[in-house]
Amino acid sequence: MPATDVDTKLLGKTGGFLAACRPTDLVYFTLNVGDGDTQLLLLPEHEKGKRYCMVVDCIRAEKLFKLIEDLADTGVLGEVEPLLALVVATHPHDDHISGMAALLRRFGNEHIGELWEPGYYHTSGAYIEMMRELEDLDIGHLQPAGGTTRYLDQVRLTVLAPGIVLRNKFDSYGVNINNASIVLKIDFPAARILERGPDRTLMRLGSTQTLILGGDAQTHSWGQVLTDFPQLGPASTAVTDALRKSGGTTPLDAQVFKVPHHGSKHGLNLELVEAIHPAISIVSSVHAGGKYHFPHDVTQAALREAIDPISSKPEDHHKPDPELNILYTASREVKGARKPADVGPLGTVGLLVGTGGRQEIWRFGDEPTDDVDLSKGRPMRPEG
Amino acid sequence: MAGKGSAWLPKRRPGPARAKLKPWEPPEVAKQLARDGEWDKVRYIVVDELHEGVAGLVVSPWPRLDQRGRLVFGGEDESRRVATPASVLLKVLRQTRLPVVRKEVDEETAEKLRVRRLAIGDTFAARIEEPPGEPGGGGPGGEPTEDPGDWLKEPVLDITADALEAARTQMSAAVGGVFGEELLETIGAEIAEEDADAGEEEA
Repeated sequence: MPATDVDTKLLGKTGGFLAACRPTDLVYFTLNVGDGDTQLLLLPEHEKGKRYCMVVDCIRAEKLFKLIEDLADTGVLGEVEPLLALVVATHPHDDHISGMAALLRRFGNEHIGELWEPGYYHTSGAYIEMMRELEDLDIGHLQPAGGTTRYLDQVRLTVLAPGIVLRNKFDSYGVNINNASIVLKIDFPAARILERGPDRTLMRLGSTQTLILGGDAQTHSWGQVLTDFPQLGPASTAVTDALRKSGGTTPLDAQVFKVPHHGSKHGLNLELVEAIHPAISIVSSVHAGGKYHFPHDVTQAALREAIDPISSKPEDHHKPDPELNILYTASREVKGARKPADVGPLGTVGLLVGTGGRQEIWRFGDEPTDDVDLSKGRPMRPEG
Repeated sequence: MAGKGSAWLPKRRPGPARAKLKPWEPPEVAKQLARDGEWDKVRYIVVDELHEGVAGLVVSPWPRLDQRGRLVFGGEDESRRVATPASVLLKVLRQTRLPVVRKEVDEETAEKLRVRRLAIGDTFAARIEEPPGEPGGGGPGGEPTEDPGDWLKEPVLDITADALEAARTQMSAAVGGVFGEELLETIGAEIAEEDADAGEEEA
């Protein structure tokens, strides 16, 4: 059976997704849109029933619109302005922004707080349409580079890429359009101060969870990220310990990794995934190849080896991808060990990311051309 | 159908009605491809991706101009994605490409423009047979089509320079705004003043 497929035994019963969404959860959807990206993040409620959202890339805008409407109809999203606190167009490829103009037009000044795009101009109709719609809006706009940090309530966003060196080479010096991608690091919860009456305490929460959304960044861009965001071990001396200094930093360590460029072999390497060491990896691509044959075998091998290292034990085999929490929007659900029968698509991935370190994976069984039916969500449980 | 709980969400808004707008008419494209005025038969073709020898093209309707002179292509379902082997596309272009540049170039440069390698962002204008590929964003992908010569009609105008200018213009207008005649006159007057001061100092 193809590595992207998932045995039916790993899936729970249909239903219960809405009840599973806790008000304090960050809810992250990677929509099954085929060969492309549309991502929706619901930030934790800031008051009862009120969540701001983020959209990262948008194709098949109608599918996203329907999901947002269903989330509002079911009460997960309450009335709030702006609903979309931040919209990010990671880079101007058609398979990331073809629906962006429709999104900007629909949600407009009232419901879009800011738009981020990398400042890399492209001749495509989708790009020119997006920028024409932006011209008609009066919203915040940013062309961020590595190091830009923004807090949205309890969520901290850090732009990992494009690094400033790449940013300064846009236009004339041959930066690949994929390497213009905005790569986002999302830390949650970001609030660290416990307030009890007049007492405030700086908490060192061990449960902060991190998502890295890789856009289509390629190894050239990731190389800059590794330079700009070094993994630093703690400098542990009696003096530094006494001053509570130098605790070290692992800025690329993340629980959730949206794999860059649909699993292209140029989107990552082993060292990068080792630095991230994700608990959950998500690949958005078509099933069984498509025109670029994503995801590439070498990418899948790097993901598996970084998460489940066996190279020095040649007699061992990697665990199956579902057990390593390597998820594909293109996955098929299959039944039976010898001649697995196709049950249907697994489709859109929904992740519930809790304040205390909880992660729940849900799948919605939609094809790229289907809407996401929230009532059809099924929890996915890794074996063992 | 959206329910009551989502009634507060803004409604979908249609884009500009393309049919009521005039086409974008770069002179060479008008001369070579739309002498009969049938702009609907012309397509705007962008090399959107080059990967492992495959060229990902986006084939869009020929743009029209809104009242402010901005290009209008239409919604995502009006464009199609086509994948083709880059080498085959280049071969077709060697026979059909007509570079469009604004300044005079010598013969050697003209030939280099005609046979240059593909790059992401290259943009062409051509009349076409109905292309293969997927309408709208995403889609199941599929294998690259064998021969773009089956659907690209000669001549294929390489309008990359004009398209880059249009993209840069739209980006600049979106992020930095536009200015009108009044400010242009003020700028001109200040430049003249500076020049006059500099002249006096030199004298």
